[in-house]
Amino acid sequence: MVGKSYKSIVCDRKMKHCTNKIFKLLLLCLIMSSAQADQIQKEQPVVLASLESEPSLNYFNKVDLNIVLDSLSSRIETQPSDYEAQLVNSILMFKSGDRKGALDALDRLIKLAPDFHLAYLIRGDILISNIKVIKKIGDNPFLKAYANKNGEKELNNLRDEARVRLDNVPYRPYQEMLPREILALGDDVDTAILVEKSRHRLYLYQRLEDGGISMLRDYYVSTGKSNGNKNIRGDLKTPEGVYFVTSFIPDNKLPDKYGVAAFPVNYPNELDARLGKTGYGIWLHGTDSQSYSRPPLDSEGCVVLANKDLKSIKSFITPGVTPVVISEQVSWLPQQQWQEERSNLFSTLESWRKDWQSMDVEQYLSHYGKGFWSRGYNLQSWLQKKRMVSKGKKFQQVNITNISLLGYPLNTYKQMDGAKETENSIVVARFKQDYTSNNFNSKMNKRLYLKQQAEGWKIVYEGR
Amino acid sequence: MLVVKKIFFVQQVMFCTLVVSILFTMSTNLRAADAKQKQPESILKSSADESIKHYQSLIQENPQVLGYYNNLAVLYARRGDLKSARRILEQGLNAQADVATLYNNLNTVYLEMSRKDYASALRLEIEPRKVNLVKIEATDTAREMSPKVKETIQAVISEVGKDTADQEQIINMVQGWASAWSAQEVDLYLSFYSDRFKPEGTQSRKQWAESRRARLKRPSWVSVKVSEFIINSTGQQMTKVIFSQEYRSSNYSDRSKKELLLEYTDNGWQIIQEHSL
Repeated sequence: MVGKSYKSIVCDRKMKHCTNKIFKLLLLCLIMSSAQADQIQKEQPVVLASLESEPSLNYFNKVDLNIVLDSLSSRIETQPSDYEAQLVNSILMFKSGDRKGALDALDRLIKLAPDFHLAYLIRGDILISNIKVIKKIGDNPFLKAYANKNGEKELNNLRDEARVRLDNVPYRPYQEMLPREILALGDDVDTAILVEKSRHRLYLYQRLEDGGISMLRDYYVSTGKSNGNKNIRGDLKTPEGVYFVTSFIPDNKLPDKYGVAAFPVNYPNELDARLGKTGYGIWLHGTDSQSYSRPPLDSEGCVVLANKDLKSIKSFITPGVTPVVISEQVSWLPQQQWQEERSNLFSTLESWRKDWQSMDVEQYLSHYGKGFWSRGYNLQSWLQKKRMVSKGKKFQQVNITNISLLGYPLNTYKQMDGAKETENSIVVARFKQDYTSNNFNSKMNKRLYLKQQAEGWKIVYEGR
Repeated sequence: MLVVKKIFFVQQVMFCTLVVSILFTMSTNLRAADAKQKQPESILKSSADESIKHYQSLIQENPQVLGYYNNLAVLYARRGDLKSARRILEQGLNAQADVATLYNNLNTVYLEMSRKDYASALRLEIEPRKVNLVKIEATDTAREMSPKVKETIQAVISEVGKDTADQEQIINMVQGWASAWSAQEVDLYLSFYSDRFKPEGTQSRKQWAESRRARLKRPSWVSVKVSEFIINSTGQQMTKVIFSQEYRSSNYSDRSKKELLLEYTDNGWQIIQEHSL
């Protein structure tokens, strides 16, 4: 047909424009990379694209398209069920002038994920783009006529979701850096979950043979309806801190709105309780069976994954073992700094263990710092008790294994004691402790909260 | 200090080499592209003037055959007469009114599909709607272009450059406007008009919009077909487009020539004046 021929002329021409653009981009990249080589070896902080207020189909003008393309191709290759990557890929195809390719890709995606409402919105936009110039997602008079009726809230939710999802595509700090929130995982801990609230991102980390960690996959998540750190019951905020999955609730015991599975965490933990925080029932759970799409701020404080995503992450979570660290903004550290931080903490723990074993009780007690608490004790009564106990010891042996080190989010602990100290980061250490002595033996899981004080790392909490 | 300078110098040299090599690759690429375009086509063996005359008469006899326009444009382009090549290619596309109809219909289909997607996105229930596509009455047999011809036409169009891209945008816009009208999607239809649009007669912009809203909704179905575009740029941001408009609906039908004055805005081309000729 003649129509087809004309169409292909148009397409081919657009392709040519496109190749030109790609060529220019490559040139720019080459120049940039050579400029980078000029710089003296110095860790450059990753410059992050700021959050856009309006999700746009032209979004990727502002960031390096190559980063995005690279990120997407690896994601689609390794995770065929990464619907977000497929969605963004179709937007990029549209942007490059391949409208037909974009529509085909969206058709395939919607067939795979018929509950991904955002994909319908984007496909609607691309379909109508032949008639109207579409710049912003979900923003044209045709759609507005419907949205006015009762879909306005739904539309705003989808646009928020689009903004957050698109914004995260070029954001890949985990490629170069490591989170301060996960410094070590014990031999019995295979994975850890890290949630970055500001980005609505969940990172699944795994422990490597050599003791390091690596990111397996990241997911879009919804968090509490209200922004900020949880303080009181019913404030609709997602708590920030170091938590552990306590149990598993299967599909058949859950109402539909929690999706296919739920993993409660131990909020409020020791520190939350000490700070007087209230509330309960903070879970990692799924979405109702009707939706893959969910607005970024939508839960009552829980961390919510789409059902399909939750199913794929389920087998990596072990109740009683898997840590869940929730942070407003993850502290991404260059590898070297992460290693330093980690080995500092390992040696702090090791000298605590040695000093305890050495019978020099005052040396041992010097590891406990200002503000210490334990169940039924404060610093003074703790020191007293320990001095008493040490009098009956003729020998003692302490072994600690399976050490996990989990960093508290940097913005949360100022609440603890008025932020007087400049360096006041907290790390939770969890390990197996094997204690033998002339009059008492024990094996237990131990949890220490370590805080960086003026004299170095000090223990501020000890418990199980 | 000297060492540092030396390193710096080496880096500079490396950088320059890189840039030079990139520029070299670019220019060879361009030359290769040029050579490709100048490759002799064995479409006709006789002399150029004769060929042009030959094709001109062929077009007069068979205005439906797209290939004749195309080959004539090829000949003009080979002489460096891009202006004529462009004129002939445009004529060819316009002559082929069926193409316009296909575009119209495709837009109408897109519009309805988009409506369904939006409803799914917003979780709204919508009534299924009958989609009225424009029929082509007496179908002339249209010939598929050979890949070689396609290649040539593409080369010509890309040389004509930006103007053609604008033309395509304008035709898309007018077809979109007609599709919105056909679908009786008033909000979408009105969005093609600039805020500066001046209605004919004494009506205010607001009164006009209201009367259009009522008019568009009145018939139970509408079908608007647009074709035979003549586009005249009247400045960088302004364009005049004249086309045939075939309006059919449940209660009235007519055929007329229409002229739209368009202005280029952030939201694409928008109508600022509308006249029936």
